[in-house]
Amino acid sequence: MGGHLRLLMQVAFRNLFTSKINLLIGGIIFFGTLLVVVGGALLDSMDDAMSRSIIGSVAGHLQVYSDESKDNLSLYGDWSGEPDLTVLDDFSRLKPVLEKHPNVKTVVPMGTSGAMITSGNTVDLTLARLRDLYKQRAQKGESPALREGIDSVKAHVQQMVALMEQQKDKSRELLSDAAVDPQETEALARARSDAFWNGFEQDPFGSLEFLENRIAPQLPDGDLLDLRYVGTDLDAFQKSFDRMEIVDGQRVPQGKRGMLMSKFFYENFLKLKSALRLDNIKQERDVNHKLIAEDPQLQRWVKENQTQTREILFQLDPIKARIATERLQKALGSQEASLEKLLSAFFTTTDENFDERYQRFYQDLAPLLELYRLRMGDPITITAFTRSGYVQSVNMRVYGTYQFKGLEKSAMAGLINLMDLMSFRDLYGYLTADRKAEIADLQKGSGLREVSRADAEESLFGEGSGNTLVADATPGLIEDSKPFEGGMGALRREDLAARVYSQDEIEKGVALSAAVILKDPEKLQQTLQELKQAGTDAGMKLRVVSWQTAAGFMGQFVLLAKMVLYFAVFIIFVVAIVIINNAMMMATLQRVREVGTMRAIGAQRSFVLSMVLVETVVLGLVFGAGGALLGSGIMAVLNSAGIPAGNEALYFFFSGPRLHPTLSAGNLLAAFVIVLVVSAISTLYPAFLATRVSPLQAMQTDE
Amino acid sequence: MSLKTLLSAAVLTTALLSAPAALALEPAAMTELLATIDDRQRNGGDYKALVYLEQKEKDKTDNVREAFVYRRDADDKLMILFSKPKTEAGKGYLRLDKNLWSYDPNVGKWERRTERERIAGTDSRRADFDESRLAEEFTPSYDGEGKLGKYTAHRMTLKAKDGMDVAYPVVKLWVDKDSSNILKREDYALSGRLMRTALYPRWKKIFSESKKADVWFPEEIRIYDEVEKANSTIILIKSVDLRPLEANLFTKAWLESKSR
Amino acid sequence: MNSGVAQSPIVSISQVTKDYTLGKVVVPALRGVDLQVHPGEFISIAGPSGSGKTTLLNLIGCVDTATAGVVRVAGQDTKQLSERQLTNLRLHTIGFIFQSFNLVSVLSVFQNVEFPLLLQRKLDKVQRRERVMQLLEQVGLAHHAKHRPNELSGGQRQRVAVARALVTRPQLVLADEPTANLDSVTGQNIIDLMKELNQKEGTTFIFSTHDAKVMNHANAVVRLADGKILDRLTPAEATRAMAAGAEAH
Ligand SMILES: Nc1ncnc2c1ncn2[C@@H]1O[C@H](COP(=O)(O)OP(=O)(O)O)[C@@H](O)[C@H]1O
Ligand SMILES: [Mg+2]
Repeated sequence: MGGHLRLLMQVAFRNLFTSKINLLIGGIIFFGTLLVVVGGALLDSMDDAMSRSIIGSVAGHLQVYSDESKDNLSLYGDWSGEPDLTVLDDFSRLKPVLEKHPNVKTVVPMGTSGAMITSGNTVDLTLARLRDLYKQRAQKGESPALREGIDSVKAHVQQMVALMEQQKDKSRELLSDAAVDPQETEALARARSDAFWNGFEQDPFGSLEFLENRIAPQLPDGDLLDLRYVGTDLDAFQKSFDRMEIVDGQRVPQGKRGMLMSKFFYENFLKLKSALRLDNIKQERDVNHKLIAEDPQLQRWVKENQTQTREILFQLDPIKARIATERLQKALGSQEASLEKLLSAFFTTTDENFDERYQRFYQDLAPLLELYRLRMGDPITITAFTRSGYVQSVNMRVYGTYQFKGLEKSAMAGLINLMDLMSFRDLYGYLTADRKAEIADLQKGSGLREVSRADAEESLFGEGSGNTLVADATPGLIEDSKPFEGGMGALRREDLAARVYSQDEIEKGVALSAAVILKDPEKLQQTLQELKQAGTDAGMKLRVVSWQTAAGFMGQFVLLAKMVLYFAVFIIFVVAIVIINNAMMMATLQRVREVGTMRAIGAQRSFVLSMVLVETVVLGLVFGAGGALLGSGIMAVLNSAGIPAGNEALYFFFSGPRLHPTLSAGNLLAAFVIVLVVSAISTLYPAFLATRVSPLQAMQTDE
Repeated sequence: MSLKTLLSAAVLTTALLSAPAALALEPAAMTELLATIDDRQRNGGDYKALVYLEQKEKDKTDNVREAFVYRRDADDKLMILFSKPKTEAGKGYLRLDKNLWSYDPNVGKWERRTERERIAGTDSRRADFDESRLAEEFTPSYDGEGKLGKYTAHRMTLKAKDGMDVAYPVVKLWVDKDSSNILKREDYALSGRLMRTALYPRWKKIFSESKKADVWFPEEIRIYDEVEKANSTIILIKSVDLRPLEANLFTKAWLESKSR
Repeated sequence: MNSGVAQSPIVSISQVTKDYTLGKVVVPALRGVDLQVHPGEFISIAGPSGSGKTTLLNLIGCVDTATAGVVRVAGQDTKQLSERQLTNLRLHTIGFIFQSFNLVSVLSVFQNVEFPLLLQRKLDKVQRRERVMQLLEQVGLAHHAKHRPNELSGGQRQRVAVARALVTRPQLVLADEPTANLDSVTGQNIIDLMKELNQKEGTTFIFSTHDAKVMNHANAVVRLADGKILDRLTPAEATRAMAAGAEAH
C-alpha cells in the first residue's frame, strides 16, 4: 500500500517538471493561489476596516427601532431621502430592556433626519448684523464700542454698494441699457449718495429697510444647504463611538444643546469657495498627480477662481481691501489698482506657480478673510420640514467639527452632522397628545365639511350643492393681541442656548433608534435574536438589525464590493478550470501509450485514476504552496509598508490613508481548499478518459 | 316712425343679429371684468382678516393653522401673522415692496422668500392672501362660456405681463357670468403643465366705510395640488375687519414685537 | 519447474477467429486458429507482416478478445473473465515485452522493473529490492539501476523491459517482435537472454518475429499466414521452408 502511494507520488513528482503542460497548469495554480491569498487577505482587511469604520462611527453593532416603521432604518440615508420610521416614544423605557442583556455594553439613543440651513446673501447677512447692532443700541444705549462696530459695518455696507454699482455698470456695457431695471439703478444711486448716508442715523431702521428691500435683492439669493444630522445623546455618543474625533473647536458641553459639524461638510460647504477650489486643486495635484495643464476639471476650478472673486471682494471692508490690494500688488509685481483684476491675476494659476500661490493665499489673503461662513461657537439656524407638516427652526451653537476616523473622505459619512437630542426632538416636531388635541380643536372649529377631490366641483357648485355664491358678511371685530400674550420669543431663545439638560431629560423622550454596542461582537447574531425577544417580552415591538443592514446603502456597498471581488475570483477560477481541464486532456492524450503499457502489465483502472488525480493534487499542492508562500511574502511586505489610498474611492475602502492588510490563517486555508477543489474538478474528466485507455494502445508504435 | 327711430331700430337689429358673435368678450371688456374683480376685493383703507388654513397631505396628519392677514392696499402691504397652534404663534410673513420676508420667533431671523414660497408649507401662495391684481398683472384672452355645476362662467386664459413677478405665468379662470365672481382658477407653469387648481365656492361682501362700497372676499378657497395629487389646502376667511390698522404695523419691528 | 511430465497447456486456442471492422469493411485478422503452448516452451510465431502475429499475441495476452473460438490462458477461458480479472491475469500470469520497449520514461530503471511488483502488492520493500536487483543482474544492468530510460541504448532498454516482464515470475512471457527496433546483434543478444531465462526459470516464452535468424533459437516455430496457422515446425524446418517460400516467390 505504502509502495503504491509512493509510486503514484513518484510518478506525479517526476511528471511535475518534465511535462510542459504540467508547468502551464502549475503556473495557473500558482497565480490562482497567489490571487486568492493576496486578494482574499486584502478583501478581508478592507472588509474589516470598513466594518470597523461603520460600527465605530454611528451604527454600533446593532440598531434597534420600532417594528411599526414603514421603511427600514438607513443611517447614511438613501436615494429616496430619510426613511419613514415610527418613533420610539420613550427611550428611557427601551434602554433598561436592552441593557439587561449580558452582552450589551452601551445603548445610545439616536435619530437621523434632514433639514436645511438657509442664509441670505452677503449683503443680507451684513445688514442683519447692522440691524442687530442698532437693536442693541436701542435697548442699552450707545457705547463707544458699539459705535465703532456700527461704523465699521456701515463702511463695509458702503463698500458693497460701491462694488454693486461697479458691476451694474459692467453689465450695462455687456448687455444693454434695457436689461437693467431702472428702479434698481435708482435704488443703487440713492444708496451711493452722501445724502442717504448722512441721513442714516436719523432713521436707522427705515434706512436699513430700504437697503434690505431695495439693494440686497439685487444680489442673487444666498444658498440653501441640505443638512443631514444624527440627533443623539452627545456624551454617550462620544464615549461609545471610538472612531469619532473632534477636529476643530470643542465638544458640546455636557447636557447642552449644540452641534458638532462634520469636518467634511464644513470644508466642502461652508468654506470660502475660492479657498475650497485651491484646496481641491492642491489635493488633485498632490494625491492624484493631476496637472492643471492636462486636467479639464482643474482648469475649470482655476477659471472659476479667476472669475468668481465677488465672494472675496464683498467680504473685505475698505481697510482690508486696501491691505489686500497692496499685498497682491507686491506679490504680482503689478501696479494694477483694481482689487478685482489683481485677484483674477492672482488666481491665474499654472502648474509652475500653483504651490507658491497656494501658500501666498493662506499667508497673505486668508488672514483678511472669513475662510468659513461659520466660526466655531457661532450659532446657525436650522430649518426642518417636519413630518407633521409644520416648519420648525432652531438656533444652535456649532461647538466644533468632528470626523470619523477612516471615513474622513467618505461623502456619505461626511454628510452626517451630530446634534443634541433635545434640538433633534424640536426639529423632528413630534406631535404630542396635547398638540394633537389642539390641532383637532382647531379643525373642528373651522366648521368645514370634507369634500372629496374627485367630485369637488360637483359638490361645491352642482345643482344639489345648495351653494349660495354670494352672501353678506356679518361685520365683526377681530381681536388679534390675545393669541400672543405671554409669547416667548427672545427670552426663550436665550434660555434654550444656556440650558443644561439632565441625563433624565435627555433620555426621557422620543428617539428614532438605539445603537447597541456589544461586549462580544462575535455573538452578534445571537444577541440580535435575543434582544428582539426581550423587546417582545417587554411588550415593545422592536426591529433589531445588524450594523450592516442599518448602514443601508453603505452597508450594502461593503457587501456589494465583496461580492464583486469574489465574483471576479470565481470567474478567474472558472477560466482556470477550463484551461486546466484542457491542458490535462492534452496531457492524457500524450500519455496514452504509457497508460496503455501500465494497463497491459496489470494496472487496474482505479490505479490509473488515482495516478492522474494524485498528480494534479501534487501539482496543486506544490504550486499552490509556492503561490501561497509568495502571497504571504507579499502580504508581509504590504503589511509593514501599507498600501496608500491613491484616490478617494480607495480611501473609503481602506478606511484611511493607508491600508495595512493582514493575512489570516483562514485566508491560507481558503486558498488551499479552493486550489485543491479547483484542480480536482478540472481533472475529473481527463482522469476518467485516462481510465478508458485500452492496454492495446500500448502496442501502438507511433514513436 | 321717424327716421331716427327707424335708424335706431336698425342698429338694434344689427346688434341683436350679431349677438351670437358678440358672446365673446372683447379684450377691453375682459380687462374690465378683471378690473371689476380686483376692485371689488380692494379696500381703500386697511384690511384685517382671521384666516383658517388647512393642509392635507398623503400619509400625514392634517396640518392646520390660524392666522391674521393684514393688508394696506393703498401701499401694497401685506402681513400674515400666525396665531395658532401655539407652536406656530408669532411666525409670519411680511411683504415690503417686492420682498416677501418670513420670520420665525424661535430663531429670531428674517429671510427673504420668493413669489413661489409655499405659505407655511401649504399649497397656498402669497397672492392667495393678498389684494387681487389680475388686471395689472395679466393679459386676458377669451375661451368662451362654460358650465360649472349650476353656474355659467366666462372662461379665459390670463398670461402674465412682461416683468411681472407672479407665482404662475399662465392662469385659467372661470368667472361667474351673473355675479362676476371667480369660481375656479387653474395655475399653469410656463411649460404648460397644470400646477394647481383652486375652487372658490362662496363669496362674501362687507360694507367698507373707507371705500364707501362693498368689499368682497372669497370665504373659502379650496386648492388642489396637481403635482402632488394627494395634497390640498383650504383657506377659510372666518371674518374680516376693515377698521384702520396701527400706522407702524407693516414693519419688521412690529411683527417681532408680537412674540417678544 | 522443469517437471518434464506432460502438463496441461498454458495456452490453448481453438477455432479462434478475429475480425476487425474498419467502418463497414470487415478485416479478418485470424481465421480459425488452433494452438497449444505448454509450460517451458520457447515458441516463435513467424509470418509476414499483416499475417496476424500481433493479433494472436494480443488474444493470448488478454488485452483483446476473440470474435469467435476459445482462448484459454492458464486454464481460464478469457471470454468468461471480467475486465478486472483479465487485468489481474495479466499482472500475475503474463509478462509483456514490447516492440518499442514501453518503459515509463519518468521512472528510473529500478522503478520501471519494480512497477509490476508494486501493482501486485505481494512483496515488501526489501523483498522487492532483492528481486529487482536480481533481475537487473541477470540482464546485466545492475549498475544502471538509477538511470532513466532515456540514458540507455535501445538494447539496454529492451533488457530492462525483459527484466520488468520477468520480475513477477510470470508463467508466460509474450514478446511481440522484441527485436524489430534493434540492430541484429543486439536483437540476437535479447533473444539469447530470453532463451537463457527460459532455460533457467522454465518460463514459457512466445515471441513473434519475421526474422529467420531469430527463429532459430525457438523450440518450435508456428508459421502464420493470412490469419491461418500453416504449420508448426522446428527452427531448421522453418528456415528451410521459408527459404523455399522466398524462392517460390
Ligand atoms: N486495429 C485494427 N483494425 C483493423 N485492422 C487491423 C487492426 N489490427 C490489425 N489489423 C489487420 O489485421 C491483420 C493482421 O494484423 P497483425 O496481427 O498486426 O499482423 P502482424 O502483426 O503479423 O503484422 C492485418 O491485415 C491488419 O491490417
Ligand atoms: Mg505485428
